[in-house]
Amino acid sequence: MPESDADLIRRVQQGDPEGFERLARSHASTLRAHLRRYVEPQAAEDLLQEVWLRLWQRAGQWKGSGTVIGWLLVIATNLALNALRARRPTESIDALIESEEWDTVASASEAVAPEPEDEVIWRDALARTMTLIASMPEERQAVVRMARIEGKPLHEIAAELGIPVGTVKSRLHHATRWLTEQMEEEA
Amino acid sequence: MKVAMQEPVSVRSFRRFISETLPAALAKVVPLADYRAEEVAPGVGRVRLTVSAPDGPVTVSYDDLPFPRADGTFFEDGKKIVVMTASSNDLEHAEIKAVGEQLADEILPRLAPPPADLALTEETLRSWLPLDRWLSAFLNDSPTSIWRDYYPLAVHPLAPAAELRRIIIEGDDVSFHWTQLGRACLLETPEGPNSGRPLHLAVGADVQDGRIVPMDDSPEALLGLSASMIPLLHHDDPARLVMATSMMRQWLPIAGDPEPALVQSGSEPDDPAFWCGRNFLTAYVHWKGVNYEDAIVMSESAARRLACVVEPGSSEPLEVGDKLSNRHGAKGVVGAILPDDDMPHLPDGRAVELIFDAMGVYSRLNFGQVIEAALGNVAHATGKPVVAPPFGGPDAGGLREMLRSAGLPESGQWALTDGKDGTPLDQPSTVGYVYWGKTPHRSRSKLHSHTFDPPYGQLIGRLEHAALFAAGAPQVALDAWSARSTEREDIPELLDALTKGLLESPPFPSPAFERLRRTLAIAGIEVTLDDDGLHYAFATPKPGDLELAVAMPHPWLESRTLTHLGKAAADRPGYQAVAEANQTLHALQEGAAPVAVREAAEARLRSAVTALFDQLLTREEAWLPVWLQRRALFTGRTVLAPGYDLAPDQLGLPEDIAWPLFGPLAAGRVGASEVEKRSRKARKALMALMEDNVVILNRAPTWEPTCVTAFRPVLCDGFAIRLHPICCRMYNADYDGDQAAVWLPITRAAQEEARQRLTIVGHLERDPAVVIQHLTPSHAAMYGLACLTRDREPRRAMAEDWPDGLPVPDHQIDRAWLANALGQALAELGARRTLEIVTRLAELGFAAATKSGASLSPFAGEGVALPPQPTTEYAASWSAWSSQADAAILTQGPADPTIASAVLAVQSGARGSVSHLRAMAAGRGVMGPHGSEPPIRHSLRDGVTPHEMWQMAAEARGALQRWHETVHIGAMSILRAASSGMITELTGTTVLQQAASDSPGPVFAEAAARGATDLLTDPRVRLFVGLPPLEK
Repeated sequence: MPESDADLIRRVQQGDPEGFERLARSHASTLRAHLRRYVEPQAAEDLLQEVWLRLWQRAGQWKGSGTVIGWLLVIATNLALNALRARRPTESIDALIESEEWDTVASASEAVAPEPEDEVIWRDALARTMTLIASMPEERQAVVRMARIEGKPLHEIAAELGIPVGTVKSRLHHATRWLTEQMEEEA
Repeated sequence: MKVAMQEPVSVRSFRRFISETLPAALAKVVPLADYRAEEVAPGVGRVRLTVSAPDGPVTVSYDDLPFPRADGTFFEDGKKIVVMTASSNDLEHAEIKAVGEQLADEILPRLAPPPADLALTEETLRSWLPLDRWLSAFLNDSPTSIWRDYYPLAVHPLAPAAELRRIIIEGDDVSFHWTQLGRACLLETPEGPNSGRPLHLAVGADVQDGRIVPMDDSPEALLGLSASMIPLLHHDDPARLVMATSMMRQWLPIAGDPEPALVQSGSEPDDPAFWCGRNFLTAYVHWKGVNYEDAIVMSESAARRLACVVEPGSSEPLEVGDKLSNRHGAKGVVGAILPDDDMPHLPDGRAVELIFDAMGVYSRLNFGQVIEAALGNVAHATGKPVVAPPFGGPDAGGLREMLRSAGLPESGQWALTDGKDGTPLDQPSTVGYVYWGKTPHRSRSKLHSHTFDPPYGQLIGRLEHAALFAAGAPQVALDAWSARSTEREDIPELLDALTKGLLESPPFPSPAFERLRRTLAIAGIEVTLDDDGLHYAFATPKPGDLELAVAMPHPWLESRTLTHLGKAAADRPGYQAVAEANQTLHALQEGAAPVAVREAAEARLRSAVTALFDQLLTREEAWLPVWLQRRALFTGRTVLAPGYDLAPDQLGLPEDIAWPLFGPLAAGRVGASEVEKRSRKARKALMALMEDNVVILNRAPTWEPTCVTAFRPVLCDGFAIRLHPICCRMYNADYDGDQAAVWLPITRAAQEEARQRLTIVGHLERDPAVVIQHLTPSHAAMYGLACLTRDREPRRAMAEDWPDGLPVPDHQIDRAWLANALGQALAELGARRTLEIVTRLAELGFAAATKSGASLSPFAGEGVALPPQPTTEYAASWSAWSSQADAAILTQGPADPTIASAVLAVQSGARGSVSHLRAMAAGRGVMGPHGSEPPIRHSLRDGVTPHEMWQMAAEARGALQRWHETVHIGAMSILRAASSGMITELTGTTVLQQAASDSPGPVFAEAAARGATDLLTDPRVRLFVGLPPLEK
C-alpha cells in the first residue's frame, strides 16, 4: 500500500531524505503546472526549487489540517506572485502622472524623501533650450545641432555644409552666446 | 452643458469582468455548476462558485474581495484607482482597457483545468484558483493601479473624478492624433517629457465596449472635466490652460463658507465644496516692485479671507510665499500682504484686494482673466453670477453693453489712487473681480532647514561644483563636499568644533571617499591613498568577514572567485538575505539533506549575493563621486519672495532657516540652551554672526556661476527667502513658487573666498559682460524707465533723480541702451558703484511703473486699424499679413489707450514681443515653421474657435514632444553649449572617472586585478578625495 502524503510529510519532518524525494516526486507535475501559469518554464523550475527548499525547512509547520498539496500550492502561489511583483516595470504610471502634478507630489514627498527637484528643473531648462534652438535662424540651428547634439567635429560640419571651418566656429560662437542671453531673457 | 454624472467606467468594466467574463472563462476549465458574484457592502464583494467533482459538488466562497465603490475607487478609503489604458494614440481605433479588461488580461491566462490527479476539495480548489490572491495582487502590484493620496491635504472634489477619467496611451507614439478630438481633452496632459501619454477623457465621450465613443459634439464637450470648468477659456493660450487645469484640481479648501465664482463656465458640479476660491477685486497693475515677476500683492482683509483648511477643524493663515492661481493659469506667490489702506483705491472708495502685474499677462497670453475681471464687475454689480462657458460668453460689443447696463465704466477700467498717499495713477487701470484659489504650495510647508539631518541636506552637484570652479571658488566647493558632507560620521564632534568658530580646514580624506572605500572593501577590493595617488588591489580575507558556504565567481569579475564578503556588508540592504541563505546552506551541508534541497539552497545564496552586489555600488555611490553630487549639511530651502525693501546684496532669511544654520556657531557664544530657547541673548549672538558671515543662495539648475551667489543675511518674518527683484535674472528665477537653497560655508577659507568671489560685486568683476546683462532692469523696472524717458517734460524732471555716473538720456530708452550704458559705467566706475546705480535705476523704474497705472484692457487693441485678413490660407499671404498687422500695432498702438502700455513694454524690451500682441489683438496667423496648418484668424481678445484652440494645443504639444526627443539625444551637449563651456568633460582616464558608467563595479574590479593607480591631478578627483586643486 503506497504511503499517504501525511505519512511522507511526517518522514520529512524527521529529516528523512527519501520521504522527501517521494513526496516531491508525487507532486512535482502539479506544482510545475501551477507555476507555469505565472511564469515561463525556466523560471518555474527555479521557483519549484524554492518550493522544495521550503518544504524541507518548513515541513514542521504543517499541522495536518487540509492536504499537503493544497499547502504546497499556496506556497507556490506566494512565490510566483512575489516573483511577478519583482518583475513589474519600475516606472509606474504614478511616475508618468508625476510630471503633470509634479509640484503636488514633490510637496507630499518632501517630508519623507529628498526631492528630485534638481533633475526636474533641469529637464525644464533643457526643454527651454531646445525651443530656443528651434527658433534660431536655420543656418545657425544646423551648426548647433550638428556640433552640440550630434557631436560632429567642426571640420566635418564645415565639409557637410560647404562652408569654411572659421564660419562654423563663428556661427557656433554667436549661437551659443545668443542662447545664453535668451535663456536669461526667458521668464 | 452639465457634465453627465454617469456610472464610472471602472465600475461598469469591473462588473462585466466579475459577472460575465470570469464565469464564462471558468466554465471552460472546470465543470462550473454555479457561480455568484455580489457586492456585500460598499467596496466589498463576494464570489461563490460550485464545481462538480466525482465525489460531489465542491463550493468555494471568496469573501471580502475588493470591489469598486460607486465612485469607481477601491478600498474603504477610496484611495486606490485603476487607470485606463489605450493601445495607441489613435483613439478612434485604440482598445481601451479599464480595470475589468486589465484583470481579464492578468487572470484569464492563469485559468487552467486542475491536473487529473489533484483531488478536488474546497481547499485544493481554492489553492488551484486563488481568485482572492489574484485580485489583491493586481490591485497592489499592477502599474496601472495607483494610490491617489498624493494630496497631503484635503482633496479637491474635482480631483478623484478627473483622475478616474485619465487614460494612459501605450506604445511609443504619443504624438497628437486627430482622432483625439472629441475623445480626449485638448489641454489636459503633463507639460514634461510625458506630454501626450496621460490624457483625459473628453466630457462628451464615453468608453463603450473597449472603445472611446464621442457622444456629444458641442464645443465644450471636446474638453476634459477640469477644462470644461474654465470660463472664457477661448481667450487663453493653451499652454497656460494646461497649467490651469492641473492647478485648479489642487486648490485647497478655504475656511468659511464656499464662495461660488462670480463668473462661471456653467459646467461646475453642484457640490459646494467645489468652490475653493474667492472672488478678489483684482487690479492688473504694477505695484512698487512688490509684484515683480509674478509675485502677488494682497490686502490684509483679502488675505484673511484666504485662510485655508489644512486639517479638518483648523485653518492656516495666508503667508508671504504661498502660491495662488486663477482659472486662466496665472500663478504667483504672495509677495506682500499690505494694510487695506495702502492698497490702490477705486473712485468709490473700495480698496483693491489683489494686485497682479499686467506684465505677467502680455507674454503668457492668458487674456481670459482680464475679461473675467470685467464680467466679475458686472456680476458683482447685478448680484447675479455671469455664465460664460468655454467658446461662449459675450463678444466685445456684448461685454460693453453688459458693463453699460450694470452702470459700470464701459472701458472696464477705473482711475485708481494710491491708498498710502492719495496720489492718483496716471491712467485708468483694469480692475475687477477674478476668482483665485490657493494651491498646496505653502511657504510654511516648503521650508526645510536640515543643518544636521543628513538625508535631507540640499543637493550640491556637478553643476554647482562646475559653477564654483568657474567662479574661482574651489574652497567653497571643498567646504560643501567635505566639511559639510552629509556622510560625515562625526557630526556631534563637528558641532562641538563649531562652538569655537569657523573650521580651519575640512576633513581629509573626504567622507565620500571613505564611503566608497568601505563599499569596495565589501567586494574584497582595497583602495589606499598616499602621495602618489589612489591604488586599487584585491585584498585577502580579514577577521570579521563573512565566509560564504560555497565559493562562487566574483559578480564583478568572473575570472575571480568570491569566498568572503567584507564585514561592512552587514550594513547593506540585502545582507540579511545573504546571511540567512548562507546559514541555511551551512546547516544543510552538515545534515543529510536531499540533493534537490541543497541545490536549491546554493541557488538561493548565489542569487542573494548577486542581489547584494547589484545594490552594492549604486549610481549614487559610484557615479556621483565623479559627478560630485552629494547632499550637504548647513543648508536650507524654501520659496523665493521679493525682497523689495532689501539692498540687492542682502538676503532675507526666515527665522526657521537662520537659527538652524547659525545655531551651532551661536551656541559657542551663548550656550546651547539659550539658542534652543531662541532667547534675547541668543538672538543678539545670531544677529552678530549673520553680520560677520555670508550665506550662499543657489537655485537649480545652476547654469552659470551667478546661480551661486553670496549675500549678507538678514532676518525676516514668515517662511520665504526674500531676494531683491534685480537678482532674479542671475538665477533665472521668478516669484511663482520657485524655490532656492541657502548654504552656510563653515570653513574660514570658504567664507573668505565666498566674500571675495561669489558676491554680486565679485561676479561683476569676474564676468562684467554677462553679469551686467542680468542686472540690467527688466519688466516693470524697465517699463518705468521707458515711461520716464518717453516725453521731454518728465525726462527733464527726472534728470535730478537719475543716478550719477550714467548719461542722462535725451530719448526714450530701451533695455539694450541701458545695458550698454551700464557696461560703460562698470568699466569706468567699477562693480560696487555700478551696483548702486542699478539699484537706483530699479527704484526709479518701479516707482514710475506704479505711477503710470499701466494695465491691460479687456478691449486690447480695438483702436488699431488692422489690415484685412487674407481670404485664402496661403502661408505667404498670411506671412505678409502678419508683418502688416505687426506694423499696424506698433505704429498705431501708442495712440490706442487699450494697448499703448503693452506696446511700450514690447518696444522698451521690458516684456513680450510684437507677436504676442498680434496673437492677443489681431489673430496669430499661420503657425509652425512652414505654415502647413490653417491660419489662426481670431485674436485671443475676441476668442478663438474650438478648431483653432485644438490646432494651437496640438502645435504646443508637438513642439513639446519634439524637444523632448532631441533632449534625450543630446542633453549633455546642450548643457555644455548653454553654459558656455562652463562644464568640463566628464570623461577621463582615471578609474574613478571610468566608473561613471551604469555598472561601475566591474570597472573597480578590473582595476584591482591589474593593480591600477589613479594620479591625484584632475581637480575633480582631488575634490573627491578631499583636496583643493593643485596650484597652477
